[in-house]
Amino acid sequence: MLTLLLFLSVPVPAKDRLPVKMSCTASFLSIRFLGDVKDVRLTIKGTGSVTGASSRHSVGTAVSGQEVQIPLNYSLGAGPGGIAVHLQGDLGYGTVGQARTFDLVSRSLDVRSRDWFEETPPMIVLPSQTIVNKRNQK
Amino acid sequence: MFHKYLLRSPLRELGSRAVLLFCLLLCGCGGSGLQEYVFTGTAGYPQPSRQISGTVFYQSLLPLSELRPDQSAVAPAVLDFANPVSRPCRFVRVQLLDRNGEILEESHTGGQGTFSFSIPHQPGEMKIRVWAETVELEGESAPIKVVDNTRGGAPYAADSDWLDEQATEVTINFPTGYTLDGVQPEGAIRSSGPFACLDGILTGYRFFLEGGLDPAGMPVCVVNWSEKNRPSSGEKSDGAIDTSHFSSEENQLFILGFAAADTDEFDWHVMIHEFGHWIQFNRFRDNNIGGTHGFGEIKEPRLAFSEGFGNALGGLALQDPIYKDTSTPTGSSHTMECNLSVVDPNPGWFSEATVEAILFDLFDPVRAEGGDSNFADDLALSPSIFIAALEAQRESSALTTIFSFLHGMVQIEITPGELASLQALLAFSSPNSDFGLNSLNAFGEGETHDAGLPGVLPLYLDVTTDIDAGPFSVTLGPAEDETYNWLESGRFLRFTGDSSTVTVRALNSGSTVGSIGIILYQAGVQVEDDGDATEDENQDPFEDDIATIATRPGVIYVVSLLNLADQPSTTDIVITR
Repeated sequence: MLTLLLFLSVPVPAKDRLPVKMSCTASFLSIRFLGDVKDVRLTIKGTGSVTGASSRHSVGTAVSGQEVQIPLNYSLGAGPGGIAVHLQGDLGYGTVGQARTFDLVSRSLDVRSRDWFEETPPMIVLPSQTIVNKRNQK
Repeated sequence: MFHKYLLRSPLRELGSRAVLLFCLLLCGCGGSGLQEYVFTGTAGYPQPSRQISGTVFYQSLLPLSELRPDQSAVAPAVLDFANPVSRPCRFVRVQLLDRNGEILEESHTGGQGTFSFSIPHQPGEMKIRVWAETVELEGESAPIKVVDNTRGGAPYAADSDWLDEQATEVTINFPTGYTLDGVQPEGAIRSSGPFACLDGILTGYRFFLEGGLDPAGMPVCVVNWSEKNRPSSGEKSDGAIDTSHFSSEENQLFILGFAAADTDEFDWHVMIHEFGHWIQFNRFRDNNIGGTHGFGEIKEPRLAFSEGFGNALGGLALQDPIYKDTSTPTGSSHTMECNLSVVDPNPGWFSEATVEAILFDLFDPVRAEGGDSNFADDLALSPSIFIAALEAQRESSALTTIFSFLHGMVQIEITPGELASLQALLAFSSPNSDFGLNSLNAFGEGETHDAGLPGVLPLYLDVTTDIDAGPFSVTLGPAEDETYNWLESGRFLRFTGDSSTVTVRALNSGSTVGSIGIILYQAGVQVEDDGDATEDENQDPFEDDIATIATRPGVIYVVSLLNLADQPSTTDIVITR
């Protein structure tokens, strides 16, 4: 049974998405196809402290209900990190892409709570480039 | 043009007068260091001033697609990193600060990003602070601010370098943080991101302002953006926002910013789409039930309208019919001009692509797609009609579908010639007897296209005479894999109130699969006391669902039934007084 909260609490994306559900463990990326997709290609890259995860895969044609598991190989560094997955496939009218990220190393909640308290600033000051004209300078 | 105010303390006033005296002495001695004065008009003698004017820009990246407006296809879309474009920071709040961080004056930029400060002279360095926040200006701008959801909702701002006493004019620029080949070097900060978000949302807002919408009484539109905002499930406070979206729970927008996967600050079609949900929620009405969706799908009409509306709004506000959504390494794009495009194999009132194309063609320039197309694009209605149609939709007892929008539009100001063109557009969007739309009634009365699905018409089944008349049966399609929003998974009932308390009961106990959800609407607004409109894993699916409402005479009530089970469900419904 679905766990469902009506009232628009479910995000309604503005993005054309492939009919897939992706999930990830420390060892595998799983993709379940909810519709038929041709010419499925997959790119995996490490983010943050995760290195060595880059890989490309060609799944070919996937049919509705099919599940694909991709083994993950990577090295962990210090700090948070994960993988960015870019999946693309042909839905019959053209190739549509979809990006998804998964955290493989995240900061523990207690550390994050402490950081949160200490780091939250009243504002975030961004760097800028300034060009100044002065009197008698033309 | 600018609203200015000074924050003066008695001590500073004294200091200003001392400086004035010093300046006069200097001038009297033939000094040339201070030459500028303003006349206050009240004092009757000149006061020295310090004037600083300037312009604020951010660097923008344009999303590129090779698609033509008349080309029915899906094509890749990428950001043009090699050619960043300077854009003015329009109508943003700016402050003049002294070395102590005290605000000397506050103002805002104009439509070209320019600002000007003039204060009584005082020595020392100063700086300009620019906030990622717009001010409200009639017909020009509305309040929007960009904050970082990963840092406690802290607002973004940026400071100029320190300006010495000789500085008269300053140009402030916010770079993208990318190299020309699209790399974000280690430690580089994408300063332009929050300002691009701000300007994109403002562009969407201005479509409504130009149509005469008064934002008075509406909340500040809060946009959450961070370089950590990634397409991942988890905590929003950690940047795991799933996708760019509007959250009605928080009444805020969340925009992706994770360059390694997907970042949307330059994908303005996407941002304005989400702003469309925000303005529906805050000014008009949106009965959208959410859930996953995509082109070509036969969805329930509230979702189809809301999604198609958001896309069309992006195209209209940007005057760009190619909807572009970039990601890393490539995203996708499609045209909104094609009434019957390849991305819409199942056109109709249940298709977000059809809604998008019809709304776009109604309000974009006539036959703007060019080429040798013969699209039925003979209307270029004004934004004010767009707004009036949304307002009429808000007041309708019907739910927010393309029917209530078109009905609202027809009710107002369009001419017989425009009505004929609208009907031609609908006919063009209806390729056969199953797919398309032909009704201009708010409740879809008279609609004949049923997507080939038995039992979906009439769209609203009038059950007024079924009250107290015993159970009647409804059959709903399955809700597998979040597909509860497919057309065949739901059903609308309607009845007219008469002062009695009405109870709607779904007899799940008599069903083979159970799990019918009920939502009750009164005059189009969701009733608050329908506790059974949600399902959770702890609820017995065969427990009956009940919703109760004290009705008012003459008011139309709508019941939305949704199958929450993963199999087709035939369930008896009982409505009693």
